[in-house]
Amino acid sequence: MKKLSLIAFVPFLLSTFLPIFSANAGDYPDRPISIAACYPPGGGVDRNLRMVERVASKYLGQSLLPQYKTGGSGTVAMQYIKAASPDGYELAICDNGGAIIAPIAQGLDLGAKDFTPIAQVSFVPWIMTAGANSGYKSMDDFISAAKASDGKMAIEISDIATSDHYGWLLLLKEAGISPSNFKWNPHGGGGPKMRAILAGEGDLFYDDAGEIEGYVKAGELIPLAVASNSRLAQFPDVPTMKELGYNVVAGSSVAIYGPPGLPADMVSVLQNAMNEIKEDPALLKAFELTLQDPTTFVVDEFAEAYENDWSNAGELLKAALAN
Amino acid sequence: MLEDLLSAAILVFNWQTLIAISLGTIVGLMIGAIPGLSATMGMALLSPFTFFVDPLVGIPFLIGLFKGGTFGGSVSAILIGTPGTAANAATLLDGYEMRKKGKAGDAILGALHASLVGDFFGTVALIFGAPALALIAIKFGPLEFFSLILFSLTMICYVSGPSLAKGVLAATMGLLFALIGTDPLGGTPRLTFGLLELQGGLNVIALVTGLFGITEVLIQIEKFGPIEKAKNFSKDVYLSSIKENISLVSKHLRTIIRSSMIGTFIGALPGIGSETSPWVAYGLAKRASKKPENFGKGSLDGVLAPEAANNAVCGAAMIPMLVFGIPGDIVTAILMSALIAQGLQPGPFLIVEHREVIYGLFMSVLFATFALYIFGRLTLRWWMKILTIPPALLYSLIVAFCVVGTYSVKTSSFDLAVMFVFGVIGYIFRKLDIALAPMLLAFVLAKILEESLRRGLVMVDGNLMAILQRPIAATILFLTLLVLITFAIIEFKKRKNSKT
Repeated sequence: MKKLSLIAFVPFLLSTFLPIFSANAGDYPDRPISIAACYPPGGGVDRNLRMVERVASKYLGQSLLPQYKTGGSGTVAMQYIKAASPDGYELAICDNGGAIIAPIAQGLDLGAKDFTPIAQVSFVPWIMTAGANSGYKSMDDFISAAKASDGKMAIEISDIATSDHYGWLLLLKEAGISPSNFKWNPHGGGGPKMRAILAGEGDLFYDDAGEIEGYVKAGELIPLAVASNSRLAQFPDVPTMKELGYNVVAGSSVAIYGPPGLPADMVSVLQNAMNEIKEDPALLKAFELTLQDPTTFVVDEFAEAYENDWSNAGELLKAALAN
Repeated sequence: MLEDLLSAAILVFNWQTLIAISLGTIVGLMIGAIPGLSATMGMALLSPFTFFVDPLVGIPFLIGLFKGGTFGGSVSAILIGTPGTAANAATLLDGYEMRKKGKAGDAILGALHASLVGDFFGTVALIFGAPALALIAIKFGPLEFFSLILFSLTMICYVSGPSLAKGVLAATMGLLFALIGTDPLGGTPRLTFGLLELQGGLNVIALVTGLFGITEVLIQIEKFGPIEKAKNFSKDVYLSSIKENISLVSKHLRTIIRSSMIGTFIGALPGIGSETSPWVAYGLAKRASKKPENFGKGSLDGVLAPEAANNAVCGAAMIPMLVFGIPGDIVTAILMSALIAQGLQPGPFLIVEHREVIYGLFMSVLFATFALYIFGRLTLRWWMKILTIPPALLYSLIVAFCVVGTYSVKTSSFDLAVMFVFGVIGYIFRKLDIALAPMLLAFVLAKILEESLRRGLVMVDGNLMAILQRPIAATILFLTLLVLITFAIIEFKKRKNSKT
């Protein structure tokens, strides 16, 4: 029977991996805080969550317990956090695609007021990029072609109403060009989008520096402009859209949210911890390894950017979806 | 190139790397063998630890885990009729039947040998054929994927059991269940009945453990009378010697090689390998077999084909990730993020700039193949002991494992409800003699089928005929038609013969 009890022990062992909650009263936080990731383990959201989680207990006094509430392009976790009780023990982490853009695209009853923004962990700007054989050598080439386009000019995007699509819409609004001048090809993700460009089936797309760096060096892709406040270290010669006269900052950001109505004292406990976490040497090292810019870990200024994104995205995406 | 590999072998041949590979393989075997727990999940949970160790320790560990997990799934498929993951569900069709006939040892050892060959094929393709295969893979746009998935769906013909009509019925229901969730292009929730939990679609692990694990338990419960009567259970733990098994398996070498090639080719296409190739390998093995009527009743070919194919995927799936930086599924995405965290950016310069590390990686993929064999073989005797557990206890344990495994995927109790509902659906299907495999196959493929078709149609302005202008897609569609026509002719002849 000894062997049998050994086998029976395995499920018990597994169950210890699952979260255990205690219910003692005391100062916040007095028990682990669960944090719902909006995508499955393995992607950028998860990676950022793990980096923060690794060092969080040092500054919070309690650990963060990662949970995975995936699905609906990220909106499942966001709807979950909207409905969660604002006791400070339920948070969510998601990118702007799942937290803001997908809810608008799906017509869900979610808005800026439904979450409490805590901190933006990272931001990776989009770079407008063209295939080497596309004929586009600069942002001006693109703009003049775009103005003359009759709706046949194609742009490769991850999907309709995703954060790269939104980034294009912001630029077109600034440039005064109608989105209906283009054919938007949805590929279902960054990888397939890149594939189409490399296979010569598409000309223009947005991607981040890490993804395109090798191909730019190989001469297969040409970066035209960066949608960030300042030039990137990897591409010092590529101008920002702002320099070219288009006030566009767009990219993929990962942020932590609380439920609506989270008491201000709890928010400040969390934000104080985040301000310390972003200076932690282990976190900085992890950012360096994953090619993320630590200055994009923003706590105090995040709420404003969050409100702006909601109002801009709402307006632009609804118009784009109506087409 | 060979020189590079040899110097890399010396680099990899240190105790840290070897221990990492071995440990990864063992953990993978265990995780894979537990229903509901998959290598994918194990890798996701353990990958953060690999960020902080040497690249030739952390990444080989993950590769060992991937390979071990892929084979481990067949253990539970054969021994307890519950596949660890969707990738091993095809193994169950004949593997579990063999176990019922007291040939569990042959099935599981055969699966190991087939996995070894398949794995070796995939690895060799990765090392020597990566650039060439990658050039084909990059030509696969949405319409090519659509054609290939359509081709894979024709395998329903071969996994439907005696009644094709019932198989098609099951497949149609699988397609319908796959529609639940969020519209992939518009983002609108559909068929969710307002339930938030359904917006992400039905969890495939919950579906698999329910349809096979829970269903099997329900079927077995019928046989239990009072406890005393349940004592007559199979204690058939006979495991033939390696030599015996190799001579047995070598009679089926053609199946293994064909399936390894299928696994390698489909595996090199981003994203669809592990869940598609075992079914295609199974279907084509049945098609080529002289005794197709034995499939589904414990045919060794039916075990060898999917196992060779799914392990061939392991090496091949890394090709588009390493060459283009395009990961197809979560497993390769995790490997890629582990590589990036080590400063190794996949893409055109990876092999040129990091020759040493990449060849080291290749060698560790190769070593993992042998580690899989060694540890798979060593633990087999141990796995076989499962058969000595009294049924009442075994089936309660299976339920416990299914619950833990399914719950842990998303820590969702809703998934548990889904699992039990599909357990009951599976039970009803089995009572009505409707095969379950077509339902799972259709469910797994439906998402890519729909997405690739709809995306493809956007790109060609809704002109379906544009598929025929794309040579690869058109060729695959032609093959699809060929399979359907020849199948129809054979069926027609069979009916004619049975009438006369």
